[in-house]
Amino acid sequence: MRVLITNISLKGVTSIVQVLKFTLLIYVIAFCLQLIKGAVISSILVVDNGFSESFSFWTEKSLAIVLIFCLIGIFFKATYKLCLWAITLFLIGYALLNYFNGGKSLLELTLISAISKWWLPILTLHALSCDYKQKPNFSPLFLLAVQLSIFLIFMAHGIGCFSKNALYIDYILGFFGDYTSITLKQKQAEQLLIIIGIIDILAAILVLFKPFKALIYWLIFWGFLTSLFRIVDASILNYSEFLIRVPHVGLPLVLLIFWNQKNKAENYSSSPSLPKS
Amino acid sequence: MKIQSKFILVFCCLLSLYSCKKEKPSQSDDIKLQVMHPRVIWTEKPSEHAIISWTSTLLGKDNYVLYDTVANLNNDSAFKLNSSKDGKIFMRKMDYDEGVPEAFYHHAELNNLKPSTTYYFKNCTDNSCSEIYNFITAPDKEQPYAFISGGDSRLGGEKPRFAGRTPLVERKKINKMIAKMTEEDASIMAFAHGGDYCTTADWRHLYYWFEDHALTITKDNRILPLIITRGNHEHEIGFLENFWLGEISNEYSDGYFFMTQITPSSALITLNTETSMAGDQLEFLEEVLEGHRAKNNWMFVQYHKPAYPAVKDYDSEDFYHVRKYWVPLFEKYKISLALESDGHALKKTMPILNGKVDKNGIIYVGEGGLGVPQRDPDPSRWYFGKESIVESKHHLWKVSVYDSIANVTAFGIEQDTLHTFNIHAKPFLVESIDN
Repeated sequence: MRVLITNISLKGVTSIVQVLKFTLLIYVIAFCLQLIKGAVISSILVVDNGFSESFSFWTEKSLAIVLIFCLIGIFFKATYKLCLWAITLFLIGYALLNYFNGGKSLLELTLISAISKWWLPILTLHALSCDYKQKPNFSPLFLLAVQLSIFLIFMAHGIGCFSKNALYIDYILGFFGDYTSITLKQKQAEQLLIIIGIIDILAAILVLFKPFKALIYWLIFWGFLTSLFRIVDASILNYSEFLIRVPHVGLPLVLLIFWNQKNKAENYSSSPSLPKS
Repeated sequence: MKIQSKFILVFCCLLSLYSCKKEKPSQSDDIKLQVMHPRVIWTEKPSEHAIISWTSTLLGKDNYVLYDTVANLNNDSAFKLNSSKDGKIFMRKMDYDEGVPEAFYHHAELNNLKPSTTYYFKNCTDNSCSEIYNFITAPDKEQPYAFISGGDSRLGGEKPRFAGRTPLVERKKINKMIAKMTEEDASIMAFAHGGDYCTTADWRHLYYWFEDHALTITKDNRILPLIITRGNHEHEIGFLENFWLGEISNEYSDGYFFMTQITPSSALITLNTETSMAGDQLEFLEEVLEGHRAKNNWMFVQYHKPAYPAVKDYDSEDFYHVRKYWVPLFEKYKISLALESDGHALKKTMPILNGKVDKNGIIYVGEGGLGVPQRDPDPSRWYFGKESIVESKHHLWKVSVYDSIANVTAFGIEQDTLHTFNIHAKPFLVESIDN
């Protein structure tokens, strides 16, 4: 079995840091946009706890502002740890609030896939620590966490396909209806979903146990395409739903960097000009 | 890291998630048999069919409904109908923690009923029977009638508001008002609920909803039949268990869309925003409008998530899908009125046609006020104007239908009139599609 390595070059560390920072940046900005539009926090404050609309409005907006400051904070050595932990706590709290508020289908699934999102700042924290310490050596757990994140995202997506997620059906029907001359029936869309679900689950399992280059490219492509459907189907005004899925692309990209580092290391060690130890 | 340890890690994650849902052992050893939560459900042909549902504290061996058209319901002469579907209501740890009792659902399907007839019934589990209740079937001839519409009855009362921890004051008040209105106006035939009965469809929430729903029963034990809509807070298995609609509901829970023929020329289409809007449901909507619109002077539509929200984000993809897939058909077939929920506010839009305010357009009313705390709506949206109402007030809508005119009135929690308007029947000819 080909195993990815965690000893990589400093350039590789910097690339991983850049990808994770960018992913987190977009993800948190999308979160802030949803907070500004009114999200589950205001629902819980007003509906469950009887706070006023203006209080909930300002609570959500204040949280969005705090999150933006936290985002700025991750770019400074003195503050990045505190800021990333704050973002993590917020994301965990938000996932749990969503779960207990109900009102969405497949809540358990969203809770599972949310795990991959809330440890995104922790991954960034570890990568930044390595970068600041100029330590080209990630913990094996870091790599496992990246793989597990992708596993959870794709597994949840696959299970959603098998459960005939209504939104997925409508994306397929909407796409074929709007952009092709083919008119699909719901049953055909469901059959297509089963195929997609099998591929997603296979990809999820493979990424955990036997990642390979073509698979990683597939994950990047599919993660991007499925996120893009949010705006292809429901217009550009649904952009926050697209942006919030940036980890679906960002995390496989991190894996790709690891893969490239591994290849470089293999080429280096197999080079005839290198002294053999 | 070795594959084995990865397996163990994933297995532990899945196991810990599963354990969150694990049921507690049965408590049914010392429980006294009780029959409760009677309700009548209408689906497609309410003049000849109804579903009677109830809850019991033990499963029982013999679950049945005794019914007849005479009030004293003699055990020997009354019809006995065994339940079609029974089972234990799913409970998770939070339900047990909340202290709601274990219970069992029962549903019996009454067929071949006589139209415009009062049916008396009691539901029984073994030797324990309910009181005698009654309901009236829909007519098979033209007559003026009314129905109550509203949604979002999921919370209310003192804060913090969780299932059973505080009396759901506003929900109870509205339910009592429904009973009073039904006593005062015998023409009220049904209660069309727009969804979001509770925060979840888990038993800790539904139990109290059923307890409170009993307040809609009139002094003479008349039960107003429910026409059920599925909301976004009804994704749990408890909804399928407790709101069974015969063949309309199915194991994948992607049903719950149907047309109720209330009178020969008046129908209410119930749609489900919680399943695919572009698939089978869209075909159903087109078929039903194409096949039935011409003979129905009045064609009402109810569904949960609004096309034109008063509170939430207009660009949200769910609302966008309602506008993209269903609204063009509403406009093509000139439906009479759209009844929406979800937003927790009182609203009536201006008439809308082709994405613009147009006097020939469709009015959308809503948007969920049966007890849930009300939100601040946004009156500045383009579909609100002089003739519309948009306020933060608990409410229900009463739709009174006559031959060519219908009165639509929003009542507040004190039965005060918040808004009233008339709509006229829009005769619809098949040729008008071509034009």
